[in-house]
Amino acid sequence: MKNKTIHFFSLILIAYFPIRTCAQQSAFKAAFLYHFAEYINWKDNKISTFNFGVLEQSPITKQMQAIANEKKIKNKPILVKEFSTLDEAEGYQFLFVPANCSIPIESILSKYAGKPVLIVTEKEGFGKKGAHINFLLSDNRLRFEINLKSFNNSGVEVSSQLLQHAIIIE
Amino acid sequence: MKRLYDISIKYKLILMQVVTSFIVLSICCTFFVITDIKSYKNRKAESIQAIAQVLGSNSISAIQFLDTTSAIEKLSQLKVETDILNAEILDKSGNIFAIYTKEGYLPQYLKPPSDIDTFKEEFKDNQLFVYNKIMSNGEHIGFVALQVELTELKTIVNDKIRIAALLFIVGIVLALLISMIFQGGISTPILNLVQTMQTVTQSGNYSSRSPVKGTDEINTLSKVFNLMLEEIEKRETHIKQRSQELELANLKFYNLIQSAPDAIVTIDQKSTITNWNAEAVIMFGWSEKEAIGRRLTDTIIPEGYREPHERGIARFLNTGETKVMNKPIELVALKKDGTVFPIELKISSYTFSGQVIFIGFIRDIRERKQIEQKILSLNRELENKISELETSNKEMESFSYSVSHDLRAPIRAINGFSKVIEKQHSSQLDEEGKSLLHTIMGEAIRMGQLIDDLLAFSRLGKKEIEKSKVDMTDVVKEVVQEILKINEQNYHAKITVDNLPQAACDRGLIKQVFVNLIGNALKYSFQNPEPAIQVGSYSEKNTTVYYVRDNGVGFDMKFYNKLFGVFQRLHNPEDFSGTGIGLAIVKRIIVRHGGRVWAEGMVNKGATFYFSLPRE
Repeated sequence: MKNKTIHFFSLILIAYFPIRTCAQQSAFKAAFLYHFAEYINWKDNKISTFNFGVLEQSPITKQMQAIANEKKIKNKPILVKEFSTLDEAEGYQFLFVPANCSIPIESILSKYAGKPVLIVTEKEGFGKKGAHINFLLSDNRLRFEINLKSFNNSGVEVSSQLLQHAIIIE
Repeated sequence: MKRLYDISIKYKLILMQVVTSFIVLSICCTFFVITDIKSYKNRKAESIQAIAQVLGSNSISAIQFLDTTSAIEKLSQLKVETDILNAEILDKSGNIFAIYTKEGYLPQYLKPPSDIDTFKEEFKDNQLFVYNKIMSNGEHIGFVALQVELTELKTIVNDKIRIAALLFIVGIVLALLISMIFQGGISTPILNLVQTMQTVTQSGNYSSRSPVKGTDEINTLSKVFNLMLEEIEKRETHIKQRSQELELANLKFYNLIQSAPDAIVTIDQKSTITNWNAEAVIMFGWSEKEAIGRRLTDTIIPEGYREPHERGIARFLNTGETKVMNKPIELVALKKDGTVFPIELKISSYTFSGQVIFIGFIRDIRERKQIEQKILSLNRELENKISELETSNKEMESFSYSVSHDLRAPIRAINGFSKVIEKQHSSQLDEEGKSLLHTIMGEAIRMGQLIDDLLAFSRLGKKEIEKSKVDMTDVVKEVVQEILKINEQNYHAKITVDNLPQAACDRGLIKQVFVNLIGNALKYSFQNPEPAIQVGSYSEKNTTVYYVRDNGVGFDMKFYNKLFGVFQRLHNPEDFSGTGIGLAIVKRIIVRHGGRVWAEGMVNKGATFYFSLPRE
């Protein structure tokens, strides 16, 4: 009984998934991004591939590419691409803005306002600024914010189920 | 197992019923309890499974986004399910992602079994463990694990067992009651039958009967048994009767044998003595005790006869041939004291159960032998005397014949010369002379008559008798006619002739008998004013008696001895003529016919002459 209890607590500790390394962080983020697709509805009916765009550079590209190699979203293949200018991002369902991106967030948001593109950022305050989803670290754990106003004004809808796990920004 | 055989069939039947019910009820109740528990478990497992599934699908997003808080929140909703002790959400490698533990219970790691497919339930220590894989878009992302306390199970098990026990007891009691009621139908007739059998066996009284109340197999058995008893009773009575008869027969036989005037000895085919009667004891000197069991050969057969005796028995046993059986034979026998004496023996045999038994009737003939010897010597003497007598008789006859014959010549001369004197010289004789001459002549004639009769009598001794069937009535009538023709003065006599039976005899000689008897009767009844003569007959033993009765002068029985002698006369010849030879002739003829002659008479009261002739 005593052994069992000790064993149990060690297990509890392991199960909290704290983020320790940078690589780990980008891996978690890639997984989250992949799962977001399940709870997001794009108002564009003619999607043949889920295009995943990364502005400039990020280690997430590599992680995302690994997922794209194995899995599909809504039975459709995933396409991952890094690009440097906003113009190149036309026709993409996902747009990931890394924290160190040189393009100002405001211009990105205005460019895709009302379009069926999910904009995900990873910088404090970007959520408030108008990104659909913004990653943040809380207590060493990966979490995300959802800006409901941004969803309301854009071409994508979010499932209430996803909202359960998010920090909601009005 | 031997005990089972000692138990009464009554209890066996009850036991059988109860044991059968016990087994059936045990199986049914066990099945009932087990099925109920199983179905409860199934229901419980299904409902918990449903909870696990809901929980799983609700936890997908929490797992995807590593949101343990949300997961724990979801798990905590299980508070309403009071029997859930632990609920856990685990990642796909089995690490705990979120956990819920009921208040007051220790948390416990529920490790998913390695062989899980999509879900699995385990019952362990009155607890149900349910594991469910969480799948998202066909991808395995984690597990739901639930530990459920089966509090109701105990109550349910207790309830079911209680109901089962009640059913079981009611069932057994019912079985007991039913079997007690119905076993009577089977066991009572059997017990009655057994009771009757015991009564019969112990008392030997075959008159008791087993009651019969129906037509089933046992009652049929009783019925058949009763019939058997009846038959046995009949037979027993019969046997008793027979044994009494047998006893009587034995007694009769024993007494018969014992009181027989002959020695009676039986032997078996090995020549061993098996019966030895009282006369045998006297005759041979061996007591019954000594003799029975001894070999006959060594007991009463003199040496020298033993070997032929053995051979005779062996030959009879082998071939059935015998020279001595079933007829009297004369032999010699040995007495205990060594005396050898003559016996007459008759042996017969019979076979019983393949064994031949010989019976010997033995008579001591010592005395008879002596008498026989005496008779033999007497006979020889007699024969000698008879031949002597015959010789002298013949001599006598020829003598008397020649004498009679020779006598006739002088008589004839006297007669002839007297007639010459009467014819030629009667003138020289006076009246007295003439009278004397007549007397001489008459006497000479009478003398001649006498000689004739005598000759006839002596001839009778020589004459052969020729027998034939003769009508006696006819003969008598002929005789009467002839007599009346000769002497007319007899006419006034009344002669009655009965119907006489026939006889086998010499007709001529018998006629002579009747001539003499009837002639006599007429002669001696002449003086009676109404002479009456009756000729009759009657049967006596194996002879027929004929008689001639008259009412004449009769005779005095004092002189009866002289009646049938030659020349014997009871009456004065002056009163009654005759030579005195007639009855002697009658006697001779009848004797020669094998008959007898006799007479009855009284002076002046008539006489009756009888003669008998043997009936053929």
